[in-house]
Amino acid sequence: MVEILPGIFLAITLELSIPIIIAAMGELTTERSGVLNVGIEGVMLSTSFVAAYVHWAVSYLPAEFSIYVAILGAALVGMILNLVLAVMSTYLRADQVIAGIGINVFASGFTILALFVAFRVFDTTPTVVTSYSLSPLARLPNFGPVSPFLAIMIAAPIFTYWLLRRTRFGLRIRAVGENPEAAEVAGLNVYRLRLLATALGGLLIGLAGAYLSVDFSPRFVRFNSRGLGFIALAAVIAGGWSPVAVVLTGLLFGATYAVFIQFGGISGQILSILPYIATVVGMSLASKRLRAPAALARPYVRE
Amino acid sequence: MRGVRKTFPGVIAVDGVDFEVSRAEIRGLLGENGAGKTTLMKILYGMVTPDSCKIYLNGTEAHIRSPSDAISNQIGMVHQHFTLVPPLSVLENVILGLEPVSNGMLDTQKALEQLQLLCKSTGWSMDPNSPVEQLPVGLQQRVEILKALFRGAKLLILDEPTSVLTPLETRELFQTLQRLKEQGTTVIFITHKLNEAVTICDRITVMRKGKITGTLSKAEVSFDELARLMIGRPIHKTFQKNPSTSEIILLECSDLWVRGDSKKDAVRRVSLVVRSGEIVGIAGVEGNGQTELVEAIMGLRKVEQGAVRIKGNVRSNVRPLDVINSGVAHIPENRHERGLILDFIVSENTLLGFQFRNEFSTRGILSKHSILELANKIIRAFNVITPSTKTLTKNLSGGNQQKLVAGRELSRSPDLIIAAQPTRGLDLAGTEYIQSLLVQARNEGKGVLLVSADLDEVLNLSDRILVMYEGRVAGELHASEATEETIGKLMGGVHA
Amino acid sequence: MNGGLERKLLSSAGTLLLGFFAGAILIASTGNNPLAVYGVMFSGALGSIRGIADTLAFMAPMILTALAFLIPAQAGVWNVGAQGQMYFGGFMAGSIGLLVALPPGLHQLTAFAAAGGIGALWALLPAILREFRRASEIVTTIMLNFVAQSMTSYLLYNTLSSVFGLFTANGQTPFVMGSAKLPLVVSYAAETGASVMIFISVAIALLSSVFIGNSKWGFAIRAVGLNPKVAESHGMDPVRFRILAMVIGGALAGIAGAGEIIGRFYQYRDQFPEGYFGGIGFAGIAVALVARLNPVAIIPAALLFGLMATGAPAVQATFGGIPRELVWTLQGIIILFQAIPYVFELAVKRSLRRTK
Repeated sequence: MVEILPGIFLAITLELSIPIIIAAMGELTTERSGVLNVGIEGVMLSTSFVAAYVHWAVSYLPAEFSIYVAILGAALVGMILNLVLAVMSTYLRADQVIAGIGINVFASGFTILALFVAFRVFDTTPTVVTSYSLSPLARLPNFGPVSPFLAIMIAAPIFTYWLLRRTRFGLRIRAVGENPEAAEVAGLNVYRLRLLATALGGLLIGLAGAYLSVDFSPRFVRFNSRGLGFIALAAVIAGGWSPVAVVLTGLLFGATYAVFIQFGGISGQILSILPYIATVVGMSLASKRLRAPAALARPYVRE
Repeated sequence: MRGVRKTFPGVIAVDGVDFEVSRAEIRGLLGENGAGKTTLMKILYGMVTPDSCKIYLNGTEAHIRSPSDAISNQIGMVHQHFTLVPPLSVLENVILGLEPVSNGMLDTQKALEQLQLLCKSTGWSMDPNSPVEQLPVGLQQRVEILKALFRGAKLLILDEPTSVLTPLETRELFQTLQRLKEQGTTVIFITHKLNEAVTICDRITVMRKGKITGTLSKAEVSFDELARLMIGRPIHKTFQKNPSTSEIILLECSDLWVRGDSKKDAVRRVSLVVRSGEIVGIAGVEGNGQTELVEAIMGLRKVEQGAVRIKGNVRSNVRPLDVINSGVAHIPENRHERGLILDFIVSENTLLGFQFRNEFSTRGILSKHSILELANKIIRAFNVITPSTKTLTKNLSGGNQQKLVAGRELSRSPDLIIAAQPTRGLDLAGTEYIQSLLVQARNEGKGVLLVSADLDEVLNLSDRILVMYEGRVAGELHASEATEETIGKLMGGVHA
Repeated sequence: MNGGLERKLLSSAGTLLLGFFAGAILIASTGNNPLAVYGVMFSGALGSIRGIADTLAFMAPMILTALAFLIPAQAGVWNVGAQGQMYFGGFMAGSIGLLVALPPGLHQLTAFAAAGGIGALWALLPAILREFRRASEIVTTIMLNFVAQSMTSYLLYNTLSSVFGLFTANGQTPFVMGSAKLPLVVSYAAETGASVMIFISVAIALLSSVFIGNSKWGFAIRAVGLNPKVAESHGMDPVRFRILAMVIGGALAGIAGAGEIIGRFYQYRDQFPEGYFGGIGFAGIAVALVARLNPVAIIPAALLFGLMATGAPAVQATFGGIPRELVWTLQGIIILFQAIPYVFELAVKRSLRRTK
């Protein structure tokens, strides 16, 4: 039997919950406006590369700047990629699912292409050696480094909840995601709202991508997001599109990963599919309670 | 409103109407389906662009080109189909698009105060935080009305508001409308229900075929007069029919109960019989259970109680294919929803329903030859005008699409024909052609159940007429005894 | 079925051209000449027996995974799970090739049947969840890809070694029995080249075309996909035919996996359709889209994608700065452009009208 150390287990759980939850909040914002971003995995992968690349490219800057430049770059690219999807699924009347698959396929090729063009390697970017620790609290005993991404992981759901529940913008996002026809009658611009919500979602997904290659590990490795984007998508569904439940689901999925890593090897192989199975089972058991935004993935055509 | 005129392709919806309404009045707008009531009001609300129309509000001309123009002119409209966002709360739905904001955040407090003020003026108490999807339809309607009032409506148009309400809810709505009127709001009340119009309205304007046939004040109104204005034409039969004498029962529905999409009972205890060689017409304003009745007969909707018998055999809750194979033809009320696949070519559509028959395939492979033969036979026999059998059906005109449906169904030598709104949207020639087909089928000894919102059609073709009202058969008449008053009153829910 | 074929082909060709044009910009940005790169890609694929063999060997499974997407799509269902169905099909075929002794002919048939069966089952699951539990098949099929990937890995590393005593620690099984191998049609070295799968897959594509276009079941599948309510009214149960279409799609993806194992590698390899989104399961979606969901058009479309996949290593070898994953990038761009047919069909419609 493998011994599970509570402190390390908790640390790994948090480490893996961070990208899941941040990306899930991005996906949640997007989906609540009625745009299904199946391309989340590709966006996360691309932004993860961008962060690593920028980090390397500006490594002449003081370390405490370069890392934030890298994060900013990833967030920006996340926004742009999500905007591509949003423009396609509104003005161009694209099929959202096909567009999302396209982004995934594109990203899986493009990141390697870019990796090779930039570094002449196929597997990984150079590690950016930095003396600067992202951790303002340094290492806690038995806990590992605490990073600002932990703060983002906590802040993102609070922000998302506040945005959706307490602001006019959030109310309007929910309205266009549920009944775009009614929203249009009430004088709202459905396309513009979807564009804004999707861009905001892309920013968060970009942050999650950056985390993977500047904090979780200091480099980008081929296929760096390893399905975490889909886990985030799964968390949004299994969490029933509610910020609080999505966070809890994200933590649960992070914990399954942590168990997987602690067990390692073969048994871990089986455990790693738990989030996917949980999503499929969850969707099947609770499809009536888990209510997707009514207009999700449905193209809205203006009269 | 002066000189209002609106034509849709092939139809004159509103034909040179002048319409006036005074402040703080409740005005009824009465008429059958297709009389032009809703179109007239949608023009006022800026949802339909008229061919010609001048609108004067308080004596000055107003230009209303969109609903937001109407809203800024203090006009509000509650449609038959609500425009609510189901998971949002009452408050959120009411304020959507005009949210009070402070520092970028929703000013919930201010919104609540405004909502409470409105509730006070209407006399309703609403929980502002409950999601509208959890409210019964009657309360959802109140949210729609509050929405219009929140936008400052002084002229409120309600389109068939009571069709979704229980009698108690209807009474409560009427009380509120009275209150609003006392506060200076004008209400235009679109309805087909005579007694409701008489109960609540100060004056009633009756429309028929795009024209106003009369405006009566409360004092001078009578049911007979209203029914005459609404139906308003002598009943004359143009089709030659030999008298029907057969006693062979083809279709029998006994004590049928069927639920609608909203799980409410849509068909309540309907019993009817269609014999060989007769046309039984079902009249009634749409939405009174006719659709559900037809779907239940065709095996497309669950029969909760009672039974459907076709040629003596119980055929309730069987597969649609079993009904078709029992010799039942179905001309559906909406050919795009139930009748034709628009992205199929013509010959594929003529095969629908017979796709599994042995004569059209060998070992599962469709035989092109016999399908083409069938398609050509139908095209020729029923004058379907199409470039070829390979034309995409969506490229055919509406009339030819309908001839294709009717041809397909009638070419299969059915014993029983269920025809729902068979001439909707057709021009005069097309209408007469389809109607003659039905009469011909009847004269050949087939049974026809004709469901139509077009009263002329029902009166013209039927041997017997049933009127449906709120899911029940409100009355049954022989063609000879049907008069405009009796039918009009039955359709409007007043017992003759 | 054949309505507007001219328009569809034109708009698809236009989309492809645009995709290659966008790819050219990408290539130019790496400092290479796009025309030279495309030239090497094509000559690498067609300039030698080896290239032709590889092109055809890539084409075969892509035809099948494209059909695995196309047939459910005709019924209005999204099968994004061909990749996962392929894992199981390949694993099943590999296991039968290794563990069950059968005479040649019967051996391959058994392997195909088992692979098709398990692929069908793996597709049946999301189909049933869609129809009876209202779980979106888009999401469940994507999720089940990961499950299949991990489960087959587990079965390879654990079950095959501990239960059947095979050596699998290096991520692959021993070679399958000779009786299970599919014969090669084009070969450039011993036991390497393109197997009869190229004929089998082309035959299946033609059969699928007859099935979809000319059989009564295909008629029902198309009717259900285009308008489920009309189909229901005329005696075609939408639930039944959607499930049928999904099961057929799953079976074909399973057979694609089998073909790779007993016709190409002769051994089961862990995660053999290269993982992630470059894999043949996803390439099938691109192929089906380029073919505008026409089963016959899938054959040339798969040939084109096979050609790209084969030419990529040549590109990598000739131009130092371009890895073969360029192809995945191109596939992604093509899918993105195919997602907006509205724009292209509008453009084609207008230009057709102008020329008339």
